[in-house]
Amino acid sequence: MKKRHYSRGLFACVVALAASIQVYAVDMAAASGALADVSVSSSQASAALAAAASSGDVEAIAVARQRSADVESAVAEARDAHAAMEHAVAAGNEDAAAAAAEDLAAAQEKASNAVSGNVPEPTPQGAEQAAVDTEPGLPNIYDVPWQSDGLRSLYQGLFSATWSASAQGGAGFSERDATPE
Amino acid sequence: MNKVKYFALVALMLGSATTFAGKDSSFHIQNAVRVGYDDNIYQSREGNQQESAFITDIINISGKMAFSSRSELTYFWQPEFRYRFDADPEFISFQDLYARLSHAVSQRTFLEVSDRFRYQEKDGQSDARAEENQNYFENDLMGALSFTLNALSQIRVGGGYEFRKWDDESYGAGFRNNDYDQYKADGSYIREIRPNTTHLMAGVNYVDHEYNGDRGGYDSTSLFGGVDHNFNPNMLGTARLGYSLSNVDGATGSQDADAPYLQAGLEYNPTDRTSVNGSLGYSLYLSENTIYNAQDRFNVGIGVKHDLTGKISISAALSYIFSAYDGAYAQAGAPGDAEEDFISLSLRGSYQINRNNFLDLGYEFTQRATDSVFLQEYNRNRFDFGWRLRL
Repeated sequence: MKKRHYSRGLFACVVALAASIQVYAVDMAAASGALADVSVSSSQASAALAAAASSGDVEAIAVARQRSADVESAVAEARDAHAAMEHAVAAGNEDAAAAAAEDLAAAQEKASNAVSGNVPEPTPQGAEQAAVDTEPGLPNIYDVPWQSDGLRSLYQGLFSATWSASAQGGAGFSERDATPE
Repeated sequence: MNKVKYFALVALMLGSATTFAGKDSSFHIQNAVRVGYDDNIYQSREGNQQESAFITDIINISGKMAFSSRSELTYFWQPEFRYRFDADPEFISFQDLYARLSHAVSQRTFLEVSDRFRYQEKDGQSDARAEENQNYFENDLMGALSFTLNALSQIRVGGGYEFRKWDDESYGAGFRNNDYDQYKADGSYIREIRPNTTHLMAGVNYVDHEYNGDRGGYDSTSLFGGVDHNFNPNMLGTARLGYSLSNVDGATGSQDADAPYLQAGLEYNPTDRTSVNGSLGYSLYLSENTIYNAQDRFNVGIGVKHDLTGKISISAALSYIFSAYDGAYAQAGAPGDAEEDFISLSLRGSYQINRNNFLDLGYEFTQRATDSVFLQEYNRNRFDFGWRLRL
């Protein structure tokens, strides 16, 4: 009887582990595939830009140039994420590897959207917010919402350092677990 | 449902909940207990300093909640409870509460509303002197709308209302009248010149600052142009240059105080372990003392964070403010012109014992120096050492 209880408990643990793995699964082969996909998107964007340039259509050139720039930005992000993932896997840091995998997937989607011209669903995590989300757990409480993204990013960083150093604050949530030794 | 299926269902729900929470929201809680020493707790002149050891508990709760793919709430709450061994009162508490709601109204329209509430002790440039109560509460409500005109251009408009009220009524009201209301409005046009690299902007900013009673205040309208430029993925520069058309209420009536307006900064992240941020500015700004209704203010701020190792991190912040008080800005009498230098330097080191526990060591130096007998000079040193739990 006891043995059956142990078996059920073990089964439940296995299921729980499997459910959790969806969050932390790290597959370097899949990551390399994703990086290759992003590179293909880059080639497609370059080809589209060349085609637009040869057509002489000023509006089409502007659109193709914007898409190409977005794809190149995604390529850079994907490479950074892939490198971070390799580093984290080598260091045995699952959390950092999983975070890098998410970044890579986001870059892959961004490249795909840029090539196809898809505009993603509006979201507060969009481009407008990216600049002020560099320290997700420590918002700048002096943030001025009508300022430009660049200025908000600057003051977010300044606030983070000032608050971390101050008698009131102390190093906080900006501490990076994933930073390698 | 038999037990095996029940266990499996609970396990799957736990796993799914972890996934949801990881993507759509975040929650952080931190508690810091510190003991320290402060050599000038009331920011008094040399010779009148009151020193004291203290023990303090600082709780911080912050995070994000996503209500939908379009709406998100960012929040920050930090209460502090401090006991000072040689002070009156011995026990004081402070609050910082902040929330920001972000909502994508449509593909082209983005709304942000934020509110910051503070209950704090007097700032570095304040001359509130009643030792038994030097606290104030302040609320700053702001909102902004961003309209995307096309792939390259957007317009941002916003406004806000801020007020401050001192616990000590003889300092907040009466003939000193340091309580205030401030109204703000801003509009700007932003255009991308080079994709993800350079943005140019032009705008107008309005501030109306009114102290309590018949003391007066100032109003200022600034016209500016600016640029944000990513020099490379690790370096961002930003600058605004303009001109402010201002009026300051003085003892002899309203005074013209037109002056250039400057705001600039540099953000540099040379490695994943290091960040450096610097800013400087020049503008008409509110006065934190009873004598003058405004100041011409030049400020420099530098913040540095660096991870020495995976377990040891350091943070440093330096702030310098040069304040010029024109005699015509005085609310009453003829105190003449005055100048003031204010410096604040903060250093903190942190050692990570394990995933959740840290040891912190901090030092803060502040100094206010002035050529006016009406403004209070002081030096202040604070040291603290403590344990921090982060969950």
